[in-house]
Amino acid sequence: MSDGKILDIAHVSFLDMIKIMITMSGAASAKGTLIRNALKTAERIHEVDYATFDDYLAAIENATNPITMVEGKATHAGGFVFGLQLCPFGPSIKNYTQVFEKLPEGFADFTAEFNKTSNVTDQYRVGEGAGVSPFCSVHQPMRSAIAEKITIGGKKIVIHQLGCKSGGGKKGFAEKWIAAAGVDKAVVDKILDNHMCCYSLRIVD
Amino acid sequence: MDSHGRSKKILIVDDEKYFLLSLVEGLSQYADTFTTLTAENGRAAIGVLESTGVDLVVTDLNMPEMDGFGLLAHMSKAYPGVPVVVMTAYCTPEIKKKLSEFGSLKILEKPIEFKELVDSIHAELASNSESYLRGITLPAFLQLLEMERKTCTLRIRSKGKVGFLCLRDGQLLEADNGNGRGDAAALDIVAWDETEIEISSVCKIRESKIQASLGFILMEAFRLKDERERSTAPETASRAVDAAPAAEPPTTFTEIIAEPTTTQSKEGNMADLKELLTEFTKLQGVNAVCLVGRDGFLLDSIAKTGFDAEMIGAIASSGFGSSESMGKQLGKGAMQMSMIEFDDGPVLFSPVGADAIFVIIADKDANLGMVRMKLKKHTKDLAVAAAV
Repeated sequence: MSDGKILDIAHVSFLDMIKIMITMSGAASAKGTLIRNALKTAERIHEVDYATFDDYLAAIENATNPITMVEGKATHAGGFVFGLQLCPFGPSIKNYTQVFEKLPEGFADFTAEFNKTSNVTDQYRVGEGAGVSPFCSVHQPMRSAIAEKITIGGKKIVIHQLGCKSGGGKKGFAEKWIAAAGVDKAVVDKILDNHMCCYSLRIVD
Repeated sequence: MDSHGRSKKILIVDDEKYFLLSLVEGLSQYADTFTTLTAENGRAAIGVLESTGVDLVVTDLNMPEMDGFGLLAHMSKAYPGVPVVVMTAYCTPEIKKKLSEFGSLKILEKPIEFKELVDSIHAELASNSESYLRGITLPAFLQLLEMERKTCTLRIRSKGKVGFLCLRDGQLLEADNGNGRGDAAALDIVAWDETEIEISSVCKIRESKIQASLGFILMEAFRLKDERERSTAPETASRAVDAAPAAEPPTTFTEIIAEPTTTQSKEGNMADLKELLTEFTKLQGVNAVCLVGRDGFLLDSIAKTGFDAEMIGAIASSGFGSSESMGKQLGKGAMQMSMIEFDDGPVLFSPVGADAIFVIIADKDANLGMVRMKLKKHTKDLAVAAAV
């Protein structure tokens, strides 16, 4: 084995654990477990208020924004739309597939389950086609739940997951949330040309 | 009291001894209005009916020796004017509505609410004293058989005519009115007046010779009867059947035999859901019920004692998923129910629709039979309420 194929066992174990969860208790239960886990993580994030939207953007740049802390720096694509160049689970996927070539069995079923309408995905405005892998069920709800800890000028913010792109380049769009956010799908499509994830932020009056 | 100043007599028929005792005790406060007699099955009830005049019979359907159907059939011949209240665990509002359309039969849903029983007794005794035509009618009897999925053969007598109706698992399979068989014969028999019913718990017919559903036959028979009574040129029953394909009943009947609506608002569903969940917690030994998404997120719950419903939902999803995976691995088919027994009572999981699980947390003394019956009855309603 060359140095380039040294496994990070944490990554491999995590991916295989998801596979085991799917086998042992089904995709729906596994999805619920990962989402609950993500929400529990978000609960531990401290609340923060930014005086203005510019302050919020500055916090992304200097990586003090709680969302940035868990997913990396997002690109502000104008208005209230953001793109994320790197999927936070990218290294895990790369590490796994460089040795085992394919992601574990059952991941497609899991992803389909995440994209199905459910109370929890409605509550956090995620899924609905924007899921392209099981990792989206961790990342997207976690980001939305962390957003609940953030205020801008004392006002709450909400996030709509608009789309996502798999490592293979396949784009997934959440038509429901694109419509709810009032963003043109063509804009989302264009952002996903150069990004792995696309979402919008709304300041709640 | 009747017009002669005599105390009225009601007869309660049920094989649950303690249930009878508790009813007799509860009803003793109305001793100035009526006297309460009891019997533990249909045969004992007939003995009471023969030995003393009874003004109202309140009966269960499932009993040993002679069940409620046997009793009702006997009463259709020997006591056609005595009103009857039937107690059952299987009734739905739709069935109640249908039964009210086909006669005066009153249904009480088990577990019985005492106030409702008292109100029903008073109402039935009052209407009887006003000389309404009371007692069991053939259409109402057939509805009960369908509701309880009864297998039997009925021998029907009316004004010198004799006919037979064969049912398996509550489905009408064959009819014979002495002149013919099939749908036309069923339509004819169902419309007979002053029927006397005999019931045998055997059905020799295996394959259905009847195309239309029982609900359709009942409605169509009444329509034809009405038409015959109004018209000098009556339409024949067989023509009517030919004109109305069994699979597509006329729209006028669709409303009556339609499934419960599934187009309620979410708010309406949630209000209904609370009522549904409450029904379960009224059952003996049931401490808590939770409706949980397959993903383990709680949809709603009701608990008599405090517990972390969110956590129970999450664990239930995992436990249910594991049981389902076990079934898949073993090729056992779809999961019906899973029960885990603990020192202090069982926990039951049951799938409701494709997206939810119903969790019942019970005590050691829980009446699991009643829980299962209730669950069977309400699974569809729960699935509708759980739908996102």
